[in-house]
Amino acid sequence: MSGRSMDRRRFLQVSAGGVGAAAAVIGAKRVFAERHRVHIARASSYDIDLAALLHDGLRELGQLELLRGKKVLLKPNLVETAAHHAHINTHPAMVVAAAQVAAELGATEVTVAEGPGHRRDVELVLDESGLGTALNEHRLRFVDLNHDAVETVENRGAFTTLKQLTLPRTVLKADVVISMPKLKTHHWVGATLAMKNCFGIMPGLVYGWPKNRLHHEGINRSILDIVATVRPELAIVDGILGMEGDGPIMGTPKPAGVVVMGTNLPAVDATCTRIMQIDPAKVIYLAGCPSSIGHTDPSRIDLTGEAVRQCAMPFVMPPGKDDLRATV
Amino acid sequence: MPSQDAPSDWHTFPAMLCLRQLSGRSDTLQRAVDWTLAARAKHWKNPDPANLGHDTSLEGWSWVAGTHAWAEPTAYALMALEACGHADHPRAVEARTMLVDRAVAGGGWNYGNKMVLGTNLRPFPGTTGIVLTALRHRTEEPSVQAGIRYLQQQIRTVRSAMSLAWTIIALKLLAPDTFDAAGQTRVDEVTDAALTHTMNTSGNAHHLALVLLSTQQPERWPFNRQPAGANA
Repeated sequence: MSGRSMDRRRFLQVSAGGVGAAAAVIGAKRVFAERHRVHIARASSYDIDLAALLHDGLRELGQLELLRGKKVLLKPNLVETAAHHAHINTHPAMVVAAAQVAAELGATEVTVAEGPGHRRDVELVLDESGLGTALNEHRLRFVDLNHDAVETVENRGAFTTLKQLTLPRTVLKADVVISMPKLKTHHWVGATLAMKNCFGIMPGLVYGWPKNRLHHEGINRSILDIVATVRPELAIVDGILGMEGDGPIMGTPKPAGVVVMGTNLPAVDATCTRIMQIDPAKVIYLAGCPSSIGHTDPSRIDLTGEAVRQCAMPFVMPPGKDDLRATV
Repeated sequence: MPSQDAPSDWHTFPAMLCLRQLSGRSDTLQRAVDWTLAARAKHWKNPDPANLGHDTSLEGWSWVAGTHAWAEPTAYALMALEACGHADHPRAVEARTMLVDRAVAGGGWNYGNKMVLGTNLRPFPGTTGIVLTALRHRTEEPSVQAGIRYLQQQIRTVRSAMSLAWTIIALKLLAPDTFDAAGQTRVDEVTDAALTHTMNTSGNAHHLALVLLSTQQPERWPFNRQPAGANA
């Protein structure tokens, strides 16, 4: 039985022996893959045919069958917002396009879900960000992960002191979780991308706001625990309009004009940092990422689409983070 | 006290308000009061006031035991203690000082920080409404007055059920003049819209209950301060 043929909750029960047992259950090919494919697409604005762009990306990744017959959960990045601040949250057009592609490729169910770290009132963030309107127009279901029913599972990362993690039932029941972050700098960890976006999976009802319990455990260690335990199957990074400077909220818009996709989150995030001209070896959660989660070394990453050097541009770093810059 | 892996415990505080309203004195409520007074938040002498902006030595209450205190759980704990006859307990007194200290520049409250890395944070209507409700007896404070002004602006635009409900509750308590005939018409309209929206989308029972509570008269709310000895 492959990991993808059972739901996430069943998988976590079966793999109670930890990462080693998990590899045996889901097959060494996926977790301990020697190489990861990452696709970079140019995208000048949110008005282009984003569904076609994402479809092409999945084809380049060899993943056109990834979503067929699956319950798909789209996890955008919604933190907080103010009117006309399109550089903070994953753009509604990206979320709608991903939902359309999932449906076209045979997903049986598509749910958009998020648990904002800075706001307990998710309805307000949906309203202010414009995502709520987009979801209503396209009749897409939304689940507030901060207040969802929860279940406790073994922490398969063991980077923090937490022996267990409490996860939303909606996430555990999903067959495919797609992390859909914004391409942004982050004042604590350097860059917030597909892996850091998984913080929003953790229920505030249990961990507080802004996921306070996990901050006390250490943001970098918590990121690795969450990714190792939840195992998102795909990342789609909205870098059409990113953020530089004092991210993830108070920074300034950075038009980067890219969408980055891949099935391995560390490989996707490492590629994104190279586009931002940040050295992934200096981003703690990427530098400390074990091979059981994925690879960040470019020699292990097969790029399709655009080359990094064609898209790379310097992002203004958050205060005190200039040491994370890559040597160009 | 909960273990390191235990779920958060801030839910105790709103539960105390419900118990006090529904059943009055009880052994369960007394245990909750004892637990609340014993629950400790992480606090320390402020190492870098310019960076954090708030006084980290003021304890308050946290979402999860052993972590730093934040605005919303502290406000809930304060209201629960007041409703149980402990308005003058030293921890309640310190909580009011802590909440006043955490107001953001320009009025209102974020989730608990005033600034991050020297950048002032924005206020949130929901958090501001909860904190103002807890500080309803401190109207002389400039930060409370600034918070009221912020909510009086927000009530014109906020549409989400939770934030709207706490905005109405706080303003009914602290600035009832806000609700003249025109203001009340606006509130009725947005309240109806918020109820419909919540029922059609999340169906969040907590949000529905808050909106319904906000439509009641303040005398019926569970936040009223009780005299010492009136607790369980």
